[in-house]
Amino acid sequence: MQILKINTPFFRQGLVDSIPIVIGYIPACLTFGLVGKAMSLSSWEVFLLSAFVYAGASQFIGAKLLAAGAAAPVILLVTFIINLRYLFISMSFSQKVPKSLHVIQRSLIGFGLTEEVYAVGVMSKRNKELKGEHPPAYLIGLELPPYVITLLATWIGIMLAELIPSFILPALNTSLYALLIALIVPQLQATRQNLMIGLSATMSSWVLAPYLGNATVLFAMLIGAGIGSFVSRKSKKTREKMDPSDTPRGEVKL
Amino acid sequence: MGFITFILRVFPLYLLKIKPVEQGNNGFINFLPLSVLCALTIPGIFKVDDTDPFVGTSAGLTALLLVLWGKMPFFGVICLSVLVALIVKLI
Repeated sequence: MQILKINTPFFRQGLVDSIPIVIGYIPACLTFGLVGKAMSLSSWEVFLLSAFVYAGASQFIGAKLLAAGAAAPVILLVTFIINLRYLFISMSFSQKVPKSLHVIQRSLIGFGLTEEVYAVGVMSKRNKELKGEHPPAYLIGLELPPYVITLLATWIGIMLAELIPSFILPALNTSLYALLIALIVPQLQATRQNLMIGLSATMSSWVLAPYLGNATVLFAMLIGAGIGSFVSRKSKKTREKMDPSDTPRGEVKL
Repeated sequence: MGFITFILRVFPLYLLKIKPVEQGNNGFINFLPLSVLCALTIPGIFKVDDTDPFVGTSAGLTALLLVLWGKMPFFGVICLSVLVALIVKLI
């Protein structure tokens, strides 16, 4: 099938780059399987949540709401609010997705776009230096193993629900945060502007959490990026004031 | 739930096909990656264990130190951080 034709070297590079994500997902998905069963959901309900929602936090919240017997509109509204961040993540990631892609490839890449895939695809050292778009084969290679391991680890978690002590689950869940820290820290070290974005997003998330609950990340993300944009424009203006020769001939500065 | 999540993820990718997002070097969207990851990660790691904040803190600090050391691959950072969190949890 032409639309799913895979270019092997790029696909292989994607597979290699996905290894840290896979390592991070194993404990998190095992935990989801265990927690889902502990909430008295059926094995299939837990597995299908993982397979179709495939979105970390909202899976856990969805499982909680399902177990509590919440009404469908409530579950859908909560899912929408929690996952609204994907709209912005996808908007940013779209700069790395080739414009000529077929609708099926585009849908597959969109489905597999998680925070961790996005982080590696945009912010890993190699990808940060890469200007322009990723080859589709690379993106498929990057997204496929995390999805497959999500399904496998969730199923294993369901099977081991009565064997693994639940008190160690939070410790296993630190894996995803460790991966994200490994990606963020070099960026924060790079420039003062990045440090300011990081600090403002973190502080906003902390301060807003008691008031906004699950929607906090969305607002903190917008505040951080907004401050970054503001600082960037301001420093550009300052540079222009200090060096008026930057202004093109005939252009009037306001 | 799956459909809503799917639409939110895929919609901007379709939109791009109609009209590419215009971006300068310092556009708002260029700052989203770092912003969203900081908003997710740094407060989140402290809340990973509701009963014992030291579990997440110890894992986060281990990851931070290993990254600053700069000689550990990603999977090493993840495995050691989880190991430290497990030890703290078991103590």
